[in-house]
Amino acid sequence: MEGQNRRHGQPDGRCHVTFRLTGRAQRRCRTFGVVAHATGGNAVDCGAGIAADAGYSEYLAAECATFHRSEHSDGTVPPLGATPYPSLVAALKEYRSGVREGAAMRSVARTPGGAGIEALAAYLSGRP
Amino acid sequence: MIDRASGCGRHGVSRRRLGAFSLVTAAIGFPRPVRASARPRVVVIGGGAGGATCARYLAKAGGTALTVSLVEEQRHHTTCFYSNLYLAGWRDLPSITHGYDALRSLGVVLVPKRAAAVDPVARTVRLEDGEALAYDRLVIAPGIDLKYRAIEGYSERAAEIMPHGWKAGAQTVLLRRKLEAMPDGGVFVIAVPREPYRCPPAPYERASLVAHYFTRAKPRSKILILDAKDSFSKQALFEEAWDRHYKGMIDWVPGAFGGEVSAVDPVAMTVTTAAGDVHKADIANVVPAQEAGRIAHRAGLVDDSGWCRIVPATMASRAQPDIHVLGDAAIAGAMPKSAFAANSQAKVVAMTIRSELTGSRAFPARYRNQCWSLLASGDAVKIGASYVPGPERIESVDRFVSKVGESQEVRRQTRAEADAWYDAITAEVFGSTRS
Repeated sequence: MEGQNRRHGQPDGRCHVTFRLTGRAQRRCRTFGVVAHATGGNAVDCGAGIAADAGYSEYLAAECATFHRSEHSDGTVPPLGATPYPSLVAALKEYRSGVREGAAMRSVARTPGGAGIEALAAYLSGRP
Repeated sequence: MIDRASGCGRHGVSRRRLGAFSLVTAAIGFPRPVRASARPRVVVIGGGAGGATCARYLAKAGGTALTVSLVEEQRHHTTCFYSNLYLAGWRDLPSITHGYDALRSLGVVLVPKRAAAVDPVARTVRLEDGEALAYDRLVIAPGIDLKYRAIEGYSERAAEIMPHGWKAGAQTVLLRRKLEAMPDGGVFVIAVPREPYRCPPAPYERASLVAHYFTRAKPRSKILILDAKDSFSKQALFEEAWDRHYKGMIDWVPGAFGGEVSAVDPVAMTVTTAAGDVHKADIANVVPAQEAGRIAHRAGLVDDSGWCRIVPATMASRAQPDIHVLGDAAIAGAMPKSAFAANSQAKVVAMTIRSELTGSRAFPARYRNQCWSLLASGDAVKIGASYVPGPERIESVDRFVSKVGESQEVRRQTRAEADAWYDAITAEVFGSTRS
């Protein structure tokens, strides 16, 4: 690859990710040509364009793996992959909205956006 | 992910097919720069929470598209996180020590040597024995160096008498031995520097767990925290715990009351504060100010603060665009210097490098940190946040922290979570330790 000449913040229509904050924390997700509005300066939701990418689900799941093992749970922390898709989507959305208690999970679930949550849940639950 | 892991067998075969070059270099040392490499080369310096995670994710997801080398002189890594549990007598050293076999089986080329210099123009890393490694992208995750000179009378040699215990391993063992040898009624002094330093709540967790040990083994002993700061992470939670579990045992002297330690005398076993107060210690746990690990300085990556400025979205060095800096050595904005943070940053760096070198897709950086502090048996608290790259610095969103007055049940759950986290993150950093 000739990749070394491509640097961040110089989009060439390929794999770059840049954030531009203008006004009240509007973030432009330039890579995917999708504009996302960060509500209250918090959530970053680049929309279904990213969520449809299997790599994005895998990327999100890597964040979970720092705390949730994929196996050998002693019951303290639910293992990844053990929860069916509908339950997982519901749980993540409830954490996100605050209906379900759990500051850490609320913090996790707020940022991927609705489409991101569904993609992540599909990936983790092994749904095709 | 399991599918990808099983694909590593193919990776290994392919690597062997890469040829005689690998076999020869295994016999005679390590590769000299090879300019016409078929595959882009990524070199990672530092096998701690950041570097090992980055190497693992590059090898795991990069498949045969990248050659990933990890330069780490130690054959095993003892984690700084959870080393306070070792001091308390709750963990033995093997349980917090990890090897690199799982990384090797993923195809990571382990280079068990010290990196001596970086030539960012030629894009090579020179090793201590003069050998050189060429790279297309370099990741530097050297952790911290201790600024012994910041405290008069303190030095690497003095640390053999007054251990810092801030790099896990021999220093941690030394500190534990001193705790075991100390007579009941002794004074354990902890000197805490100004921020930034590795793991902001750790001095106070250490005070808590040493106090736990003292209440069982040496109940007349005292702990004196001499602090350069006027407040600290999770302060209300720690103070609540000290009052509840260790009443009268722990004293904290903030900077405003002359708490900052300016000098030590390892012969007289005294610690002197900026206010001129001289404290006699049975054990002096002197944690000096810190800076990015030496190789970051030699690579020209540090600014006047002694740490490395980075691009928030990618952790690329502001000084050298083909070099990424992650973990404690980086100025990561609102993110603390922690293993969790380093692990999170490493995944962003791995994704970015894969994108740049193999054309895989990159996604908006998401960072995270969560940190547990253990207070007593069945009692722990936590703090955490998500982070996003801002234009100038990494910014925190959705912060949360345990609350004063939580029920014992909540605290027991948090304590159990901490153990589950340790198992999960060490598997994330070093690969699964279970077959």
